[in-house]
Amino acid sequence: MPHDHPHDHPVSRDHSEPRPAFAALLDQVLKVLDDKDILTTAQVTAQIEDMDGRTPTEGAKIIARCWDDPDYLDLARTDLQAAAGQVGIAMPAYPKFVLLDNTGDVHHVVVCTLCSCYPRPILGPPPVWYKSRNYRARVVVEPRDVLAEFGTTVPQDKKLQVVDSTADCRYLVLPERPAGSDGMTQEQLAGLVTRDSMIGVTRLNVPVT
Amino acid sequence: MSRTHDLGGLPAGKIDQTEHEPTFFDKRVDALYALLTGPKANAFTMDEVRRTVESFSEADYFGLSYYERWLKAMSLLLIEKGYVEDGTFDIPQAKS
Repeated sequence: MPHDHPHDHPVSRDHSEPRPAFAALLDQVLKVLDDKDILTTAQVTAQIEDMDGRTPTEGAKIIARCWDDPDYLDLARTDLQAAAGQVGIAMPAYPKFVLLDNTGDVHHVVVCTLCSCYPRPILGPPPVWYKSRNYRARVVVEPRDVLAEFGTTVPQDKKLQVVDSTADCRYLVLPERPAGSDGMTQEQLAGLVTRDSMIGVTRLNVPVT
Repeated sequence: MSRTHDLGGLPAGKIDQTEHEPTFFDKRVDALYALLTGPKANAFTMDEVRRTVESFSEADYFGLSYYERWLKAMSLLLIEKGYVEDGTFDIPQAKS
């Protein structure tokens, strides 16, 4: 019985519109900040536009170039901020960003068990499931089962590394370059890369046409 | 100290993978967070927002949406830091 379960929690509201009391609170906060010249409406609008421009499509450019350009891959491994800058992504000086190579020997998957830390400047805001109680609780103890829910099988003899993000350090997974992608342009390669592969919950394939 | 947020390793169920396009509310709260913790306004730090969210009751932590939690935390911090007087905002209280 779900209601008798000791770990039962209310259904997440993360897919819903805010309740009226919170919508009203937001209006109050925005008005006070504007009245006190702490933040203007124009600044809020500009910030929304900036974040709207940050999407997995931007992150995919880093991945495609890493696959295609060994010098760039070296740079991304040592200074991901600089590498992101080279594909046109404006990066903050802080926090630190780290590239995790998925290879034939090791598969990385990223979580933030304490909250929702994520490479937002590169990928935009995280998906709701990444912030969810169930993902945060489970992926550190049963990662193979969690990946299976995403349709990903990691063989038992392959090392599976779960990486816990912090406010000070964010991770971007470099997925394995899929078989059959030889000779593709960087633009074509970027088209293969998905958000979930850069979090590490899925692997990539070249679609069969 | 509350450990409500410290979820790693706890038993939990299937992951809801339903996608959600951020609402205008979500985007404005997200923008407020970036701006108020950013170098220009520098009203409070990311860690102070986390500390505030992590001090919420279980009813608030699990009962509010992600961006409702952030908004409530930032409203409390604006008061705590003296930017606005207590009583300026109608901050919803958790029912549990």
